[in-house]
Amino acid sequence: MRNKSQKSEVRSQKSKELVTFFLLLLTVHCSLFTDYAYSQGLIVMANKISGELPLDPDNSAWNRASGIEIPLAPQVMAKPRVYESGIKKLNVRALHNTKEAAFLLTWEDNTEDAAVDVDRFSDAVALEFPSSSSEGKPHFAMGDTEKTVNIWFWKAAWQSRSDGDKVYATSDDFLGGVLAGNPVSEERTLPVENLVAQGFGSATDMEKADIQNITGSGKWKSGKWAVVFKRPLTSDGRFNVKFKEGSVTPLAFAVWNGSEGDRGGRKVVSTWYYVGFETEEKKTIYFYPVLAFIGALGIEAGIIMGIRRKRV
Amino acid sequence: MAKNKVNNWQIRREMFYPYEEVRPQKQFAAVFDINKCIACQTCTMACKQTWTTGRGQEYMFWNNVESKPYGFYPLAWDVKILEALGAQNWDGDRYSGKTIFEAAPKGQAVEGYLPEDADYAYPNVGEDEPFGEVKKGDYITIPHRVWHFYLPRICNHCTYPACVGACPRKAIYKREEDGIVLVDQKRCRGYRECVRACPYKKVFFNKTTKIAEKCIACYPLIEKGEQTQCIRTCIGRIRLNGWLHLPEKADPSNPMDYLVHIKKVALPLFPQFGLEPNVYYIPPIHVPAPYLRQMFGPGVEQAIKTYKTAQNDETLLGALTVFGSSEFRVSKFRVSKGVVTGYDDKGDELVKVPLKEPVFIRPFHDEKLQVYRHNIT
Repeated sequence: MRNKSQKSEVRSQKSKELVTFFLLLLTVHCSLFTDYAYSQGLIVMANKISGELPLDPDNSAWNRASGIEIPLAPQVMAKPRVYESGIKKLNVRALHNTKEAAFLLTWEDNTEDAAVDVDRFSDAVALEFPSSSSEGKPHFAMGDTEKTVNIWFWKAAWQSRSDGDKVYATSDDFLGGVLAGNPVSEERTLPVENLVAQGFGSATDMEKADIQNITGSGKWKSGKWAVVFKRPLTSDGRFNVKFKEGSVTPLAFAVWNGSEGDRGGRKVVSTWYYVGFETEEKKTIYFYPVLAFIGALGIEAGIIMGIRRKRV
Repeated sequence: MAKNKVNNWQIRREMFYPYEEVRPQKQFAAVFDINKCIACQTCTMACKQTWTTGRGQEYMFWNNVESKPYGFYPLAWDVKILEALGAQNWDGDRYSGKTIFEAAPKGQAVEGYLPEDADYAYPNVGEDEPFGEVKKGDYITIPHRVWHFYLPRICNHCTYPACVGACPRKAIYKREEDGIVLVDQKRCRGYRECVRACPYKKVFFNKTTKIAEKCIACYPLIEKGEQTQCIRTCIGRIRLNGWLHLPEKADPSNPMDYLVHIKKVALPLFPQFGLEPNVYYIPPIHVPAPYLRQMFGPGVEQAIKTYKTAQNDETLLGALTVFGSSEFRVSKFRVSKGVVTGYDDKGDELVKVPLKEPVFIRPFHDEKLQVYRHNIT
């Protein structure tokens, strides 16, 4: 879909124009830029605190994190596509304590969908980062063949996992998915999963190949989900993302609404945003990485708008 | 996912499919003779005992036998997809309506629907319900005033599987060596796009393992040159499996090719869906043609006409007689002097069956054993 040479020529022409435009804009507003980026909600600041990071979404420590709002749009890049969704946005907050990073994601959803049945699907949320081995930014939609993404996935059904029907069970010797070692089929101890992807339909669980070092927890209350992800700043494995105090990392979001039949590619998504890990130094240290990223963001926005217009 | 034009011989035209036309080296196929099915469910139980005794499979039947017109498994599967697809017109033997790939809603790979959990709860709903009213004083006439029939169903191991076309993870694949369609139990993440897409509803969601499961055509048996569990255990001997070629490459000594392509007595189930299913049915001779035409396509009346000539057609009778004659795959058959001989893939003889069972009349009293016999057939 993205390989058509003619289209990419046109696209690269447009890209050049956009880059020029952004560079001009940024040169003019150089000293003001970091503030500008914050005010536009492009960077979420992982505020530095001391002590243990909270796993509970209700923990008061989250009051010390400044959040930003992320608009979400239905996924229209790959089939099956969605065009409408009741989920329009989420709020993200982040904290770090020089050893660990934690994210709190909250969004409005009137129904708590945690049960799974033939035609019932679970609510879920995911964070996406470039893998540490990816040079530059991968494609925001599930990464690309050159550059992989690291996805942290939380699912309501895993948070309150039911044991299914044991009533009629005669034997557990015939659980195909379990025998095949499918992580979706096996009993889960955590509601989160660490994935790597290099494009649509390629998300692969890394629990077996790598150390599962993400923890998480979610709660639904009064029409609102609150989900926490937590992980050490650095993590082994070339597919995992690595964070560093005083640096900026791209991140993107996806939300699934079970009651609307969301699963797999049926979801609402964002393009790349950025998380900055607070340090005592000046805010402007985030300037250069963001400057580089921001140009690409504009191009992506253009591409998405183009795709949306083209889709029949 | 690009859209490709592929050739579907069952609808006599090209159609759109998410992938290119790639035919396997051999294609698993089966013929089911509906006229002989008595819905004893031996096939259903043989399959269940073999493959679906696990947790999460309580209501899962890879093989089922349902009464038609009022039986369904899952509930209303055929009427739901037929209604969603809208008018399905044939122009002679060429299908001029839309296949489920061509009727796909915006942003989807195929037209389909996702059943509810409760739709699987009554696997034999509508059993023996006839179409038509039995009035007071009615007696049996030929043809019958009321009718029903049994439809045994397994996965059709389609040439253009909707499950394969709809899976965004490419977790379902069609085997190159025999055309059997399988769900990769490690790769599936349980999105149920295949359950939604399969118009025959022969991909199932396992609530315990949280992923999709389906009929595997007993591939361990197929690989050994044997027939599937449902086929070899059929007490009515209504089933036969083998390799099916394209119509232009039909081999008259292959019972599949002979019944499907040469005599055209065995027809695909809902060919208008566009999947080129590979289980073929000999239609029931007592059912009104309009109903059968919708189910098996425009060739149905001719198929019944030809089938009725079997008693005078030694070769056709021979092909039907090898059904259920061996647990091994009968890849070739030959009729000679009132006997049909079945051969395996290599051409070695498997079985000999007389076209007409010999009748032995034994005396009431057996002198040699000093016993009396009665009611012996």
